[in-house]
Amino acid sequence: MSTSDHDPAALRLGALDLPDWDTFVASFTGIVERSWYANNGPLVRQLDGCFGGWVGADHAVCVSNETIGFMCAARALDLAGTVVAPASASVASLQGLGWGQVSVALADVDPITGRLTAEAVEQATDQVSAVLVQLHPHDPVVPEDVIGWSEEREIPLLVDAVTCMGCRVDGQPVGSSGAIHVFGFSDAEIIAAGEGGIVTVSDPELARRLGDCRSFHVAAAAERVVPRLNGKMAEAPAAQIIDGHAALKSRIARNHAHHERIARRLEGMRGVELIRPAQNVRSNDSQLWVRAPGRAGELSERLGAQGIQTATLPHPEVQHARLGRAGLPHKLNALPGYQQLRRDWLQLPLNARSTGASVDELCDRLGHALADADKPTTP
Amino acid sequence: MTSPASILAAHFGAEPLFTDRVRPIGQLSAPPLARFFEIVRRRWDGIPCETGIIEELEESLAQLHGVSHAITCSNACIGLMAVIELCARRPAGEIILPAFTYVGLPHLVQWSGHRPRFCDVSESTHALDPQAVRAALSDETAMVLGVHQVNAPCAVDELAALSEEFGVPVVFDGVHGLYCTHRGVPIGGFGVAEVFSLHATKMLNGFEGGYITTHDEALARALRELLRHGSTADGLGMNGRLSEVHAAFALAGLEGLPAACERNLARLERYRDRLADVPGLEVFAYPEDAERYNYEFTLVEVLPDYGLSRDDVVRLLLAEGTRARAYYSPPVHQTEHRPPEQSEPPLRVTEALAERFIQMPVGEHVSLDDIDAICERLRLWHQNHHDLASALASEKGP
Repeated sequence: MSTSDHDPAALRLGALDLPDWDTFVASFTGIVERSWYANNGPLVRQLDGCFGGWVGADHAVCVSNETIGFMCAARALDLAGTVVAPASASVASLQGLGWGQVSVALADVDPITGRLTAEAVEQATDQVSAVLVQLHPHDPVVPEDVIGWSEEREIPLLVDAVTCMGCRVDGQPVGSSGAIHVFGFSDAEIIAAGEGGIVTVSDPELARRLGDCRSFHVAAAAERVVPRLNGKMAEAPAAQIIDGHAALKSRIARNHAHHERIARRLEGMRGVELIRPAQNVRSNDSQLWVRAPGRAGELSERLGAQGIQTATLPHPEVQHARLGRAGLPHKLNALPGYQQLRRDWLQLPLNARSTGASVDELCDRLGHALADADKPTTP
Repeated sequence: MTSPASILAAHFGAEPLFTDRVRPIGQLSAPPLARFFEIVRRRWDGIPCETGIIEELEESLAQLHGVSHAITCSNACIGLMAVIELCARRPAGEIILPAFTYVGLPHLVQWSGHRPRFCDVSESTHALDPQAVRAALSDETAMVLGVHQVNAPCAVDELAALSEEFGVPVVFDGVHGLYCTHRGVPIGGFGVAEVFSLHATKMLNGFEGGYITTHDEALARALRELLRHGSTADGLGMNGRLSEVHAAFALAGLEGLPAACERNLARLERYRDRLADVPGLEVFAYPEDAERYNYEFTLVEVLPDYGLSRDDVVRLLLAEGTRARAYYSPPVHQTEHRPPEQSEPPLRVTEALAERFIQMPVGEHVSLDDIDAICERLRLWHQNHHDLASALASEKGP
């Protein structure tokens, strides 16, 4: 079997979890009948009201996308100075914070788990105004030591939970820790709504400020956020998020079954190992990551040559460049842990179009790529 | 005892004109649903984000505006922020803009570290007055942001001359200029770039969205990069992408644009016809020239002869189940949207214009019968303005 026998989308990164077509048609027919397309429509209000309950947070604020979410969070918190972010932070969060006019110091991460540590935060800079934690679907955990460190100093914790909708830690949904979480709903996510973001918080005043920041048209308030922007979510993504959430359990179950299948296929394959969550974590399994010590880059190239989309973690200089507006300060620290992660971690495609046959094929291709990489090169 | 006012206006207890749904001031046009579903279905049949819907929309928009490039973005605000980020001179300085406009503009210039510099407008066009701009230009000026109005574009030639003379980029907010022309040329190709909206209330409904038009290939490339998370030394990237779903909605509606403009004109003419003999109310006239207009707004001026103030009429219209509102009033420089550290600049023409007009209910959800009913009530209010004026005055107290 060749890869061309599968839906080509199965070889693309991103969860691509669109709503069921008939559900989409019904929802959009309803929107057109109501003729309320944007500006705090009924579906956005419904989502603002219920999303917190889905993830165990007190308040939710729907925004256009995850970058806008971080921009609004930075402004709503009145952040100034330096935010410490892991070198593995997503471009969405880094740029969102950059638009918030804060400087960013990239901190090292644990070379095995990829987690930020309190020690790395300490080392990144001596002037920390907030800490960003990057969650992964296979490890949606906010490290205890980072929570303790920030609580002790009353420093806000921002959590990039963009890829982690539906994940649970110790039985609790990601989003329930009380920190500021940003969830994403682009086509890459397990609830794909074209675009969309939701910020959750526990503090009602912060929720008000976030709501203030996403729009120019809100009721008068004593203390306004300046500047603001049009960061409102429209009814179209709200409909798809609400419909997507109804299907979330079945999507997670499907992804989990694929992961189980891949784990079996990779058993005994030398030089590569499926990255799985800890016992206390229920992942949404929306991303497929393997550990291939020292070979992630090479495998990525070999698979890419076969039309299989893969990703490795970006080079620190790339992360650095993403904060590159002239005059926007940023600091690049020594990042040995992250550099190792870059050499080891490889993301492979797994999404709504994947089938048992396509993941088997993917595993076979990975095995061949490993074997080819092992062959001695002709002198 | 029933007061005369209570049988004349919903504000005082009469049955409102519209109880089924509020009559809006936005366009709220919908494309043929079957066409929308046909386009958006590509996301299910192909690979989401690789359907070509965005590219097709961008090509169509570039053609519509007669420009080399149209770059879609998540909304017009994001489009303006991206253009400011890339085009405004550094270090950060002043961006000259009108105050007779959308309240969001002063916020947008601040995201890139610039400061708004409010400038007066021309009485005839309602857009930036080139003389006032000349007076405001200085070494501190980072950009001029002109805003085309529904009734007239900016003085693009004069602003272009100032741009050349002072070496300052001029960008246009073209949100209300979609489908309009200047000297027979579609709005969209003037200045360094122009920015348009795909918001549901505007001429082309993409739920929410926007796009930037330009002839400058290098700028188009930089904008595409910046709006898709790219960063350069000149600008900080972001997620400014337009969703394919929104793009499909706009694309499906594009063909209907000329007909929508005709319907706007029909509504405008109905207001004009029905209010022709009501003293003190004047429907603002679009210029009678060879240019193309979208007739997006119907503005009604309330003169002293009417017997009630502009703001009182707005109050009465709101209670009738409409979203009529005072047009750009108060102007932005007199609101909390002016940066708190700036003092209020005197803008004589802007302030006078902001006292004059009502933005009347329009768009696809306002029928000609609705307009008849609104105008009939306006006539009745004029005939009974003494009773209504005293009832309104007694509400306000001594």
